[in-house]
Amino acid sequence: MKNSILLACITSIGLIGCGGSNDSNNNATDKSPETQEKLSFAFKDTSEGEPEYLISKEDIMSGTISAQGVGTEQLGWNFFYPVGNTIFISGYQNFDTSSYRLNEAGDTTKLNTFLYDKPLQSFGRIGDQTLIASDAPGAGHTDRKFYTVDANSGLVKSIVEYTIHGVDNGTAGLGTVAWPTGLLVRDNKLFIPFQKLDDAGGYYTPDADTAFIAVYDYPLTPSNNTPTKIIEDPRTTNIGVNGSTTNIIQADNGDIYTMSNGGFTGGFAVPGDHDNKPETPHQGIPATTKPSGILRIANATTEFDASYFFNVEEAAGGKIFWFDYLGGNKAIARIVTDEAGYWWSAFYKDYYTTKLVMLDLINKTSTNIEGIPLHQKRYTSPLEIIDGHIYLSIETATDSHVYKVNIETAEATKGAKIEGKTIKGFYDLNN
Amino acid sequence: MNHLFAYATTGYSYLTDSYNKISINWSTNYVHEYFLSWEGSGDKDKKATIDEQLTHDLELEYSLGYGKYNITLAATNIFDRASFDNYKIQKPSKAYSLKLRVDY
Repeated sequence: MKNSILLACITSIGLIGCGGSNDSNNNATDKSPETQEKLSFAFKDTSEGEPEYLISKEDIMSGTISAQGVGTEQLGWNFFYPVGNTIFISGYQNFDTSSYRLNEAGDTTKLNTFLYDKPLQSFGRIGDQTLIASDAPGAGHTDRKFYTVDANSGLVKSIVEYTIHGVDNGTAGLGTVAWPTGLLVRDNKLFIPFQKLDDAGGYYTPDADTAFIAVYDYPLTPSNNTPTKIIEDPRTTNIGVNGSTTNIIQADNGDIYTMSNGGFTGGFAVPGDHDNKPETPHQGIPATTKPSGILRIANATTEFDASYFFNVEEAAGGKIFWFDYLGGNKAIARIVTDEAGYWWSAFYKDYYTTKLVMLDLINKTSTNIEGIPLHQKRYTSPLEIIDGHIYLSIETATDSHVYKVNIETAEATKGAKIEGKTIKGFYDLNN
Repeated sequence: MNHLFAYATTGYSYLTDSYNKISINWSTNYVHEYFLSWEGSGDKDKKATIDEQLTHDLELEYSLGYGKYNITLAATNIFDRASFDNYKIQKPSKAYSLKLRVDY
């Protein structure tokens, strides 16, 4: 009989290094005097995964802006939506909404986080105190969920299941899904413009020859969760562009304006027209031939104003892709100057086709904003007017810069260079 | 991003005769806390991190017939510590397994 003992010991220690950055003395730590207030902004990095950061900084009009050593990291792609002095950041892939405010030291601190099981995609606000939001499943027939959130606490006050048009709760019908593209509350009425998408989840727009808005009595409750009526207008196409949170806006006098795109590059298509590849242009079957434009619902009414249609396609030379209200019946807008891309291409890099214009909503005129190059932009937060200016980041094939636009004169001033992909929005959370 | 990890294993085998063998093995895995995304971007205190992970596994094996038949009883993560496969995707806590292996 033979005994033997084996003793084995294996140890390994590893260190994977990818050369951490050492320029920590960059813009991250330049502490300017506390007299100048910081602007907060939604920065998207170009590093792997393109993470997003909520950053605050005093000077955004000179030098460079980067996320080097600064900013609160967010996961995945996010909607940034300000309400009063609170910024809500809602994940499209990471299913939660976090809210931030400035603390006494002027730094952003998290208020709260709430979770959801389907991403919130439509947003609105009531005053400075309340965020409203809705999920927007693009297939099947399920109720939508309407969230009311307190901007002081960042916490959900109520969730109400609601329907838009009869088909989206499972009763058979047109085979389309009502896909909300905006939320606006005025005088205890809730307006939800929507696109009609095919209910198979293909994101086609089979019924694009009409603008639709569902009108509700607000607030929604479990027993008040269907529209009191759906208003329609055949002069333009479905309202809203995918992923924009300002497809419906309200002027100072209470008039409501909505924008309709209807273009192939803006996501409107019928089945069989394309295979969604850049090398395959569409076959010339437009989802609609209705012009891109703006409709109005006059103050104190809940119908489209039959006397008003702003044919933006004619006035500005292209389809409207995004707009937001500036005050004084003026709006700023992006216009797609070239429809020769592919399905959704206005959303994507390499299609630098949008120009920036100022729209006079009353006189129905469009003025190009000089000094801003043709650019590409997927998402822009609701604008905040800061000392008579709005701030935008403008991306071209070669670089990205902050621009400041005077809302009176429509003059643009080029600011800091952005060392990153884009800035989705600028927020003054101080006041 | 710097990513520190360590792995150690130690074992003891005892041949009861030339025919049967009992082995015991202990493994330890350590992964230091690291960042989900690029280290240089963002405030270090406000970044998504994957927490430090330290787990121990214990394995007892009885082999018969010159290693032809093997019975292995394994307990993984014996101290029940949180560990992750990916960001926020948690790996199993303490788990037991019985493995029967025939080599031919």
